[in-house]
Amino acid sequence: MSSRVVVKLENVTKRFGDVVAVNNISFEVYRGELFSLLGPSGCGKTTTLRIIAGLEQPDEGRVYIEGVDVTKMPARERKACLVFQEYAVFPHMSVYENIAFGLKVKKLPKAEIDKKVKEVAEILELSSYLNYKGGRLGLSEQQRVAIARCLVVEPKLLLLDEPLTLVDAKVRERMRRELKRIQRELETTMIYVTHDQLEALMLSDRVAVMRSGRIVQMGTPEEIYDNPKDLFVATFVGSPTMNLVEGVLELEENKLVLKTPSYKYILSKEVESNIIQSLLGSEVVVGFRPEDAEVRNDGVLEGTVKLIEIVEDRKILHIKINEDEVRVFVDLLAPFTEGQKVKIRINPLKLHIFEKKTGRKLLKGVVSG
Amino acid sequence: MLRRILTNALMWLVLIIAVVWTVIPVMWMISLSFKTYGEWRTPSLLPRNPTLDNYIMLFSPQALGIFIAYTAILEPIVGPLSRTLIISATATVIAVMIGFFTAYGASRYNSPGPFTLFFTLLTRMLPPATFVTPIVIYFTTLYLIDNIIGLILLYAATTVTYAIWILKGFIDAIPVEWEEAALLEGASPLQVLFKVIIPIARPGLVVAGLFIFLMAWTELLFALVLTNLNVPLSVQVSKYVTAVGALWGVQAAAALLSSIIPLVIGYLIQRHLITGFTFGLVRG
Amino acid sequence: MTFLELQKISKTIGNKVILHEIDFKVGKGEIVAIIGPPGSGKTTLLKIISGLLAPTSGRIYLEGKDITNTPPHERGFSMVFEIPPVYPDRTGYENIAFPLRLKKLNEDEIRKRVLAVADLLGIRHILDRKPSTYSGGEYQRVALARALVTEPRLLLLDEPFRNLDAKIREAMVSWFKDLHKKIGVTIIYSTHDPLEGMTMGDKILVLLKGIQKQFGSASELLARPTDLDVDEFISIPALNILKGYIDECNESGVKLSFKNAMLKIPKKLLKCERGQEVFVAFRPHDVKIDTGESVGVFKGHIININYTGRNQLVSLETDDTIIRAVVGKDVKLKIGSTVSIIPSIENLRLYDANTKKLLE
Repeated sequence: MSSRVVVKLENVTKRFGDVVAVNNISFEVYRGELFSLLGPSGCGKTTTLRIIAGLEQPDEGRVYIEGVDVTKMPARERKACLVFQEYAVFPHMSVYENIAFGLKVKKLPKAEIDKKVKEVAEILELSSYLNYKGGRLGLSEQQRVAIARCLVVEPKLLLLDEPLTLVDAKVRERMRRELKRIQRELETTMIYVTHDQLEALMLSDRVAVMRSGRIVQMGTPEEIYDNPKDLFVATFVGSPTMNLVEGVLELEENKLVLKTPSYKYILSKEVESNIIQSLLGSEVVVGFRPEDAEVRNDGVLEGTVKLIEIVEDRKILHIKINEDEVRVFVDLLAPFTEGQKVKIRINPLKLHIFEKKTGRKLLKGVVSG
Repeated sequence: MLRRILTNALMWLVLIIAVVWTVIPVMWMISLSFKTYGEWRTPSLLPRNPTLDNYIMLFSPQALGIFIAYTAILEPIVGPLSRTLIISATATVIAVMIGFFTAYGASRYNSPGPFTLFFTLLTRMLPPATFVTPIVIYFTTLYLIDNIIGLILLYAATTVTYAIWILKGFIDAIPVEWEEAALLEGASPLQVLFKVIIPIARPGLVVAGLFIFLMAWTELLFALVLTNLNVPLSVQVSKYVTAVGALWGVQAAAALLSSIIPLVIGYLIQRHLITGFTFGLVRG
Repeated sequence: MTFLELQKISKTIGNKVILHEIDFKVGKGEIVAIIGPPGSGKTTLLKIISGLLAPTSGRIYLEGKDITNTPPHERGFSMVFEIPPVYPDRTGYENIAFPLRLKKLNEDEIRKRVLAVADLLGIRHILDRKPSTYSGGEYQRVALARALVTEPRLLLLDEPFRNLDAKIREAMVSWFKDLHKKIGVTIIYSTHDPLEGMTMGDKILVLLKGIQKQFGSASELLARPTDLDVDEFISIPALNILKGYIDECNESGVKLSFKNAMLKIPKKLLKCERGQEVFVAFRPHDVKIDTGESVGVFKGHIININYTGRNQLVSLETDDTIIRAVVGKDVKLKIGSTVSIIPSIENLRLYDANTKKLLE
């Protein structure tokens, strides 16, 4: 096996009674990358991580770490550092002692331990907590101490199970950026489990999107965001969620039209008929992200503003078009009011078309880019 | 690898010994209870001519007319059985009630405080035999010898600590926010206790109750010392074997009967133990 | 019309000041979001409003009437705590019916109201089941149903979306706003997430270390934060803060000088003090970077890049500090390369370096 691959899973399956938690999963994790398992609660991502850690035994399949078959090896022999919910802070020790623990076990000189602990504490914003007893910490600090304990020993493989869920929003935002920077600098191989798609996008070199025990799509953050393979990935990744409308596609006077049982939407004035030919007449779900549509006077889709949301540097307009509602980004200072009638233009390159029955992606872009 | 095999083998060995150690005496007791007089002293595991004679002897010692000398002093088992039932049930109710309210106070109001609680548990760590003499003296003075009330009081007093510890754990696990919500909705503190805490802590009450019931049911030392004629079941079982003769089979029958009843009670109330706890922090 | 008014509410426990002179007005049907980091006093404030805790000083008025000493269950408020009161030993129906049973309503009336609320929240189908079978969103909605079934005058929510998955939280916030439009109950809710608070709230109260720093709409907060701490708290991604001096002010604007750069911003200050030490704050969205040789005020090298789907968040190290910028996702960037940093001069805010107050 190439030395580039640090972790490899081959056809791993795990059942709990009748439930198949992990269903025939295979993937490789390369050296120095941050690989995420992303999915909703119950999709099997935590179980998969626990199998890699050695806390669970797979019913089928094999797990390799650094080329060695570790499927039957107990957790403590696998030499991976775990940041898991249950590996909490030692309550009777101070934060300093908690973080220094792994280094003391390795019998490093005191001055070096001190230096490393203080460095890591600063990155995780724990410097002012160093003398606190573990039991006194809030949840946000506890999770960070767990991460610090691992980072400080600079492990070859780091396994993290939703390490930032309990951290409050402001600190979480900083932690995400810092975690990526540290990971990149130390070139630590990390496998990261999360339900938060933004977190996965910000941190990962590659992401495996999971659902009901299977990997639905695997790729770089750009790939899963720009080219989701099916409806699930398209709606799960990206916030605000991708706008979706169901219907049958038709061409009318060189315009792409979506026919629903009660209405007719003009999706785009620009369309290349040869690209779209095979999909005409079939039941589809059309999707576009809020940033891929604009409010313009020459837009073809008409609706009424229902709600205006302020987000960071922009506003989101919730526009009601007949029975459906779509969201579109506009400038922070743009003057819109509730009840106003607006027209939208969807970027024809960014129209995703999915098969209604299976959710499978059929096409992206109704013109050639 | 070899280490793993050895560790596993050792584990299995220990498990097998433990199982054998626990199960063999029970099996022996069961089979002995069905053996005829002649077979009582034989080492055979199964009775050759299984009989219910021993059980009949329990209920009417005179029935078989054989062991007249002993039967004169033996009560039909109904007496001790009903006594033990009353004693255990009453002691359990008292201990659990007092235990529950104390645990609630300790959990929510820190009263009694942790030191007091620990102290009460300390007292339980002394060998019970230490207390025999003083208890006998007190009880004699209070006319509590040889009657049910004495044992009820004694058992309630000595087991209440366990009730407190078990129940405090369960009550601690109930978030205070749940009580505050009820208060906000107009419940009085007493209503909170009866409509919120007790229903949710029910499994705890059942566990504590069962634990105490068993302790009272099987207690022998004080029962022996404090009773004469009105003996509870535990003492009665011991009476079948005396210095002048031993009714092994009958004793086995009595022991089996004594063991089965708590088992049956436990089985009947087991559904109260399973409530389904998913407090707070639900992640979907 | 002022529905609820808090006048100088303070709370001290022992020596510690938990809340200091909280003062604001809530209109009927409004949503007020209390935002602040953990430990800032949000839960204490909510409990004081609900009546479960008494304030050390200050008064609360409901529609003009002083309710400071009214016991909690007589105020007609409902509160959903961070650990929602969904009792595990009974069905959803029983949980929601609980407060009505306390009020001794008859069974028919109870049934009517419980079903109505369940329909409103879309949880009719789980009424017969016990909470151990619920998903996170359903659990939250049962708690909410229980709070709404008593038709409260005011609904208090303590970090209601905290324990939900990110995607579910997104859906719940939007669903909640829809719900609010339908039933119009006045709501005061707390969260540690400033963006969530600014999306939900008609008015937002910024609570930092027990002190009310600002009370206003989201637009007001974003355009004119009263001090640097507020600006810093509401900014996600993190605010860029540079320390500099006012060089000179004239008709065309203010000249600022930094360690290695000068900047001129078109701002008119009421009071201009030459040499005044200031903090200059700007958000990552208000910064452009240029990989070319253009003249940028600041120069820095890229130390971190985070992809967010819609764009990229770039961290740049300059001589003094780290600046974060949001850049389009199609821009090709390399770690370690040097770039020019061009903040948008119309969107810079100045704060006095000592008082941290906004300079206008």
